[in-house]
Amino acid sequence: MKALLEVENLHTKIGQFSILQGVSLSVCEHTIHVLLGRNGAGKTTTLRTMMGYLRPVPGIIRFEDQELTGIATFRIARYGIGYMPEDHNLFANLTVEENLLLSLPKQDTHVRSQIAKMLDLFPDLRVAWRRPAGTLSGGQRQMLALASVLVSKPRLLLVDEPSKGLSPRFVERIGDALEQLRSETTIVLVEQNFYLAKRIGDYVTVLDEGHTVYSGEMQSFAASDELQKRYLGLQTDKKGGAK
Amino acid sequence: MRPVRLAWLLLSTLFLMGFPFVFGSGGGTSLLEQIFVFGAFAMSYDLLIGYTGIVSFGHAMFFGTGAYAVAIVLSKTGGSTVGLLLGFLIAMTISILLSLVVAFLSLRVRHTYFAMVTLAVGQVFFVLAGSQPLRPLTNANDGISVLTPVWLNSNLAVYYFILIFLAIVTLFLHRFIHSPFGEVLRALRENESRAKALGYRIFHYKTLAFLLSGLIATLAGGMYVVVESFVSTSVYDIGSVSLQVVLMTIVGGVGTLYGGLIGAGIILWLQNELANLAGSYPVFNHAEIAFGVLYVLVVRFLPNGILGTLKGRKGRWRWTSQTFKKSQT
Repeated sequence: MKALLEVENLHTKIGQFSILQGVSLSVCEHTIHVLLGRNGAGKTTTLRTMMGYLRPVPGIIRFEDQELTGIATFRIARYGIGYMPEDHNLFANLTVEENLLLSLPKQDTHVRSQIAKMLDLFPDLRVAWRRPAGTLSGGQRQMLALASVLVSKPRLLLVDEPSKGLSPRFVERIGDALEQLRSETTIVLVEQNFYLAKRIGDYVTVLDEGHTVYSGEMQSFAASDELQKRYLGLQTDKKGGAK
Repeated sequence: MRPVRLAWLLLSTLFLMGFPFVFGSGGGTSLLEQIFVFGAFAMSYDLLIGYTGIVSFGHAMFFGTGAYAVAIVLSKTGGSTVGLLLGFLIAMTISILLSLVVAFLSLRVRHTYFAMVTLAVGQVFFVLAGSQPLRPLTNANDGISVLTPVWLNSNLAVYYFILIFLAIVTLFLHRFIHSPFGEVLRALRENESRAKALGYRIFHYKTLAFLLSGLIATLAGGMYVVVESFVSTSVYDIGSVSLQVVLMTIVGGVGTLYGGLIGAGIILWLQNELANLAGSYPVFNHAEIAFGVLYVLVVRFLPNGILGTLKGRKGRWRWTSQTFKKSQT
């Protein structure tokens, strides 16, 4: 399968601290590639570096045949890469409608159909249409954040912990939505919730202390208690599920 | 347009159009002319602070540049209409160049540094306007008395000229902030990092907002000369112009557009009243103390300014009444 995104030997510093010290991954088209790792492993920094917020020195990020290293964030977004950060992912004082309209590319002529599609995917947003995003519940906010990224039809979607702080009902719905999108886009997902990750992920890359320590198919990773224990420190319960 | 809003617009238009006929062209009308000029200036500042989230402490550099450019050209051309137009044209050209230079130097840095850079550049203009080497052009600290074109010799003509200017600026800014570009500016104010990730080139948007805000402030400065027929270094003064416009915007309501006009009205009226009282009570000579107290009171009790608070209450009332109606059905 063709790789849409290739990251090679990514090194990123924040201030004087080396956060990434050799992250590599290859993401195939129309797959969900999950980044796993303990807290502080460098998952969010990897996404922020890919999106151009942080400059890697050294390291290569290639999207299709275009080198993204050192390119400004707004240009990376214009190549068709959508980013849903963990926090601060909305315009809190603007309405749901305004948030979605601002996320549409200027040249998009199918505004209505794109927005209707998002409202079908996330019906909760329909009732909150005229409300400021800051007044929405945690789950609604995450849905709006995801809809805001999806409405521009990105070719690659970087999603950082969409399930954080959500009730199991909302986690399920976010998972369903991401699964539905697999045929339309490619997703790199940072996720702490291993149940969600193994449910929807096709491939997995595990990071530890800023390094890539494992890359492979999610199916084999989810099936191996030993791999989960070694890389994520997960214990296996009596029913065979990781916890 | 909603009927209530339309009624307000018609009433205020009628009031302002008829004011000189009812109250004469004396003190009240002159005060209104100043309010119109500073109102337009404050609204231009609100575009920056309220809609883009950029704080500038040197907005007087635009106001003063407009005032000086128009005054110098008018004085050199003997107060002709061509001189007036040329003055505004030169003022606008300088304003565009100035905003581009300041934006290039400082808009990429953090907001605090930007505020400091504008403060410094504003001070440079203040010093230049009063400097002796430039006396042939600016008349240094003595200022320039200006002859305006013949058709602006009556108070009534000046009043309507400034009123039309205010109407055009208000209409333009209203349309601008409700345009897609205005929406993007509000998005930048809310969450710059998010706007970048959506593909918006932040620097370009901020620069254009700064340029436009500066341009309107420059035009307001030019209008100030038409009203006062005089200009001195005080138009570049941080205390009496730059900080005053900040106060006007905060009192009226940041991010409300018309709040700047309301703030200008309150501050200038208060200034006028205090000046009158100072004749009998010397304690009122220090108007700055009153403005300091006003600022503290507004920040403490009306953090969103007068118009911002009124809008907030209206919004809350709508929200409560809708929720109540839903609970009844």
